[in-house]
Amino acid sequence: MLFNSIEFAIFLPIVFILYWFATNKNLKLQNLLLLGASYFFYAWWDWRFLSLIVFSSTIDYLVGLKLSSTTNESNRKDLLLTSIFVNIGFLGFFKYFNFFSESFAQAFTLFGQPFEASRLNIILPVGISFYTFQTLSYSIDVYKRKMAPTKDIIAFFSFVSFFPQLVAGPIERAANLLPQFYKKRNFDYLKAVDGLKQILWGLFKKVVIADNCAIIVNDIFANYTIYSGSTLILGAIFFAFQIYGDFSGYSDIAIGTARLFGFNIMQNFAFPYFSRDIAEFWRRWHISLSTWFRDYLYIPLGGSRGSINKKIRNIFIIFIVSGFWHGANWTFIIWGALNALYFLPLFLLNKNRNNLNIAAEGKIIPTINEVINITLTFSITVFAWIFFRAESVTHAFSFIKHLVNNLYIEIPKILVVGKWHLFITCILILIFTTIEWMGREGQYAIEKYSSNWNRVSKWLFYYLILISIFIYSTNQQEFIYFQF
Amino acid sequence: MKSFFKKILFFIFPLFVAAIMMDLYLVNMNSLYKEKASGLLDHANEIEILILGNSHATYGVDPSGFSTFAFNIANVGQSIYFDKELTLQNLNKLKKLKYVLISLDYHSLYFSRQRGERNIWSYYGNGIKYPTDNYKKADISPFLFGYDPKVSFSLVKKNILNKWEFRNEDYFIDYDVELGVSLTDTTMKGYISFSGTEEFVFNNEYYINRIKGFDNLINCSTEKELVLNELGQLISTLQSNGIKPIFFSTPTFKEYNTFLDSSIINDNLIDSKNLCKRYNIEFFDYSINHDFIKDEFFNPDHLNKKGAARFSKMLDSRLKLYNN
Repeated sequence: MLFNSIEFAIFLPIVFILYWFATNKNLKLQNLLLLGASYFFYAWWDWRFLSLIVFSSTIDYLVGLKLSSTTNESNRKDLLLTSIFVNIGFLGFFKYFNFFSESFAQAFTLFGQPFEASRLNIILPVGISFYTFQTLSYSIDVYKRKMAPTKDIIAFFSFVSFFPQLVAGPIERAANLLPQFYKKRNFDYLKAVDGLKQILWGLFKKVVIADNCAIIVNDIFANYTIYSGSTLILGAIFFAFQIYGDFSGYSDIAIGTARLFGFNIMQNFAFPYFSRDIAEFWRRWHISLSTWFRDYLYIPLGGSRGSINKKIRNIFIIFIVSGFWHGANWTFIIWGALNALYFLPLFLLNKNRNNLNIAAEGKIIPTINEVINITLTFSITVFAWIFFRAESVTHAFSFIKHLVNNLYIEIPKILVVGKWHLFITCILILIFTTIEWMGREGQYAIEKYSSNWNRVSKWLFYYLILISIFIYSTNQQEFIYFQF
Repeated sequence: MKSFFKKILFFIFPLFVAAIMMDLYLVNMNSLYKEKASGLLDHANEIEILILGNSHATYGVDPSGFSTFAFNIANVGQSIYFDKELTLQNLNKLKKLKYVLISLDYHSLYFSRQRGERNIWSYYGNGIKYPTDNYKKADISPFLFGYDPKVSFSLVKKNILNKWEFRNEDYFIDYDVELGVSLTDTTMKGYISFSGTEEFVFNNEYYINRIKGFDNLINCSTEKELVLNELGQLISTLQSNGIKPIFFSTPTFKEYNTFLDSSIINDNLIDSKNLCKRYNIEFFDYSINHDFIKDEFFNPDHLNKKGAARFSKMLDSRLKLYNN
């Protein structure tokens, strides 16, 4: 079920009403409703893959219980390895089997040993990369004695499958989300209104910005050979807005929806395109994944401790694994490696924690230095996005080659849209960026907007956003991060 | 909680009313499909030649180029099934109809209908449903599920602009509902045209990509038998009513033609030969005609107004041979 679909617009109010009116007196019943709703939400895509979530949840629930009753460290380790093996095993099989099989075959062929790759016709279950990481974090935290295991099976299963963030995150930590299932939730008017505002803004980002850019991006990347270098740059910039609007839009809808049910989910994007260096960008982009890798991979590897070689190795590992998490394609690995290369000089010069505050905090106009740094960071990010968007490494390199060889400026003529559409899209991006800039000190751009406006202006503002969502709802595209 | 629900209802109510008003407006809205259908009925007693087909025929055959009354009922993405249904539902009213020109293109035999909104818009205009498709949502709300909001708003905008400029609404309808743009040209005997030439699409990369789209459709298609069956029904009914069906194909740009898949061309040739032999009909095949220059094309596979005028005269002169 897509967040930007009629089905979800019917599903959400029904669950909301049942949640607050029919089951609000009984916490267990309320959690059970959430569990049922979450499974229904997931089954809307493919009910067969529900079994994976149930299996993964069961394993981690049992591992958690066993971990609490076992003191033998070797047994505890085995239990953790079981959880890791099951979760990463599912992920590896469904997501990476064909990639490894084909890569091995290519490698053998390269060394003069022709080898036939066995390819399986596997469907990638939606959201598998997200919920496996979420449930895995529980087992690791229990193993490390950072949290006590739960005995409440309904709460645990609801935590793993919580529908707002089930298929595309944010990847929540058990320590933050699970305890919220133990406590009675009371309806909070301001929280619910805030949730609706965040949903509205998320839909705007997805439908108006991302989907609108997608039409142009898809055409430019598919037919790059007929376009000038300047049009290709425009395509890459539009993709930067597409992926941001798409993914952060999804996160906003997820967080907003969770708030409607009285839950607090972690912020996943903190205005990353206003970052002044790449280290800041990575503290602001897909925060739930970056911090997951930091806590469960980077730090166990030694983090920033040890020899310089070890530090560099750890940085490359975390960025490359992060890239590979996005998909079974060399393009994502290169994207990760490229970001590691961007990050490394800052890290080696000990400048990776220079920009911990918000750009131009408390001010509207940034300094020239900030503008330059933001522009430079955005530019290198856009360059890396080319690899992320390309179908293959060859596609990415020939896109870049064509861009460089045809670098002249012209008014872009896009096959699939007219000049007017292109112009309107540029204006929308400009308005969007301005709103994001003005609201960058909040959790989401319009959080503090309109709070002191009168009702007419406030509602007019919301209506304007809603109408633009309606107008652009034609170009409905699936959320990019569903494929991960 | 009560206050929350009350405010939500207050907030939604105007949107709900607006959606209903939009639906009422759209139900009565004119469109190219309606315009062509009503034009056909208005001229039912005069029409001697009927032109069927998809966008190639829509933009490529100008009925004014014929010496007898012709009408173009082709439409973008219109498949043979819809050609057949449109013709048969009006056949008893077309008293003078002598010839039906059926467009047979590179991909015509490989798609039963174009999936997507165009079929729904065609349904609003012509009332024809594809038997296995679901039109329930489109019936509930043209605003949300049929024309969908973007196109709906565009239609309203164009309508207001037309009124603002004191134009006669009868002559300025919204033709291209797909992009929500109205062409400034008026519909004449069902014909609308492309003006000028999109120079930047005349290159090898574009030809390859354009043809790749057709080839994918053709290679993945399992509908050929179904389409041939529909075509057979159309031809048989026409012939039993004393009307002469004729196949035709519009010219495509010569350089573009070099990228077409020769095996598909051969298959098409065999199919068309078999059809012509089986039903004893002629095929005015101009797909490999190299007379047409870039100036007469809008893009490599669509003629513009200038090209359509010349092509229509060519078709007319061939039809005259029958009359003589």
